Amino acid sequence: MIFRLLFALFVAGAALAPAAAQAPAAHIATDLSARVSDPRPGMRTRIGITMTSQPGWHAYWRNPGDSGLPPAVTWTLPEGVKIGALEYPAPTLLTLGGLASYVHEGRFTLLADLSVDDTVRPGTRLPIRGALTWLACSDSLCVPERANIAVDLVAGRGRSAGMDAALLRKAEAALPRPATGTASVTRTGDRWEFLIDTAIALGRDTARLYPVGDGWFGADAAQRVRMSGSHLLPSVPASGSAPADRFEGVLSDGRSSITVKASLRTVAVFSPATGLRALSHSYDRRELLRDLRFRSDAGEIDAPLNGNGAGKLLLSRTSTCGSLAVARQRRCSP
Amino acid sequence: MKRPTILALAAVVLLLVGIMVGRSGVIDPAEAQTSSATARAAEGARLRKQIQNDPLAPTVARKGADVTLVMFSDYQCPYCRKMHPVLEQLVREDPKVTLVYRDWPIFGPGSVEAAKVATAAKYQGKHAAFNDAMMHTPGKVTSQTIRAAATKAGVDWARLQADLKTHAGDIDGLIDRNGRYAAMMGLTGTPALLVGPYLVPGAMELAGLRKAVALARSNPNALPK
Repeated sequence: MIFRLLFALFVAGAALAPAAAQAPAAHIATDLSARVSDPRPGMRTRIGITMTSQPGWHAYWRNPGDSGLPPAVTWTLPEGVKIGALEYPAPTLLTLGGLASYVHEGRFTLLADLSVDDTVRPGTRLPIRGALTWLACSDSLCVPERANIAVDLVAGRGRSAGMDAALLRKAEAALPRPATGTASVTRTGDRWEFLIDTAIALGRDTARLYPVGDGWFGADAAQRVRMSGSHLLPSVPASGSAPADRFEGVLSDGRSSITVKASLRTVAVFSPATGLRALSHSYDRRELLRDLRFRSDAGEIDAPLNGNGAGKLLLSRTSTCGSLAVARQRRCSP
Repeated sequence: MKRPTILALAAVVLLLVGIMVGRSGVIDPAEAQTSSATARAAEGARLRKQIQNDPLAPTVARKGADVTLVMFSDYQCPYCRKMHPVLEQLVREDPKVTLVYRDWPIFGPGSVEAAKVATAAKYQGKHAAFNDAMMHTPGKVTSQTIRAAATKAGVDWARLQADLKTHAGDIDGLIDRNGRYAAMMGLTGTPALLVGPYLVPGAMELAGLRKAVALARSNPNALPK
């Protein structure tokens, strides 16, 4: 509290003192660099925006979670040069004031593809300019900041390493890697159960799933991750019905991370005593019976029933237009 | 992490304080400079009055209030939400403070929309209810969460839409004005609270706020010379 009171300022003084009104140095420093200083026409290379936060300050991931804004850049590029979307390293979870955010602390690099058209002649100077805006927050204050970022390249043979090539290589290695196998998500009771096939080892005690889109689960939802063979099985309390047919996100244990693109599947359970029972909340039992009959008639049940007559049916959402129509109360033609 | 943050912030602000202490510490014999200091003080007082009194900014006005608080905040700023119950408690326990809300939406489109709806709710006497509902809304602010907060607050939505249209110029004007005042005070972010003549950037706990109010009460016209 003593520190807080030190902040007390005379407002008139601050208003009238030009020195005090000058924008203070940014809490997050930025730097633009390229893998190569001589990108080759017709080829693609990477550039990176390295952001270095003061201790105690953070910036936001592409999905900021409960509050915040991710960095955004507006490029000014020479003819024949294109830059792709920003790629983010995996975030960490930060909960402050009851709000859970997906953030980056310390030093981190946002990467983007840079391509030079093959019509660009070698030796052409390629000044890359960008206006970068971001939100920097500490544990008590949030500040919108901006910077002009620049790097000068010359079209060439793509062989000269840029100033921070090593840093960018490290940043590339830190990007979430594509999961090696398939992934699906099903609604079981009030939880999302993910099934992610991947050969990449992640620590399940610290692994956490970060959604790219909103509406799947709360940013601070308690998650648990089980492992089974080559599968990772995160389980997360759902915050509502599925906002999309596919979940996109990142699974990170704080060191390694993978991208997750999980298709939504509907699960139903069959037993001789109760008949068909929907586990998915969005299903009415009668509708499900009708729907499953429709699917059985069509011979498209994914998983066979087991010997005692109980079993699990996995209906892929993409291949079962009929069940989709029931679940979402809308018509579609199979 | 907490300690370095506080120290880092203190360093920034102490620099500003240092500038002002430097200015006020000079005993100035020159007549011209004295008069310019007086003019500066008068200008400062005039500006402060403007910031504390606004025809449109939602205000919890109290009879016989001797300290005015002006809150600069954004509905998506985590620490603004954290400050909300602190301000509520202070207003409850201290009948002699007036509270002025100045929305300064710097967190993007959701914040701007929420600020406009909050101001428009004032025309039907629902600013306090909407503000409270919005501050208790978890997650990112979107058109949907704004609508849900309005419903919770008992806002007549059709009337609100009409007020947003009818008073669009006034509402935009207020938000512009708030941003201008924030810039004039050298604010860089949210939240920030003007407590009488004292500016406190960043979130505060109740104990700190009480102290700031007590300080403002004993020095209502504190100004640098």
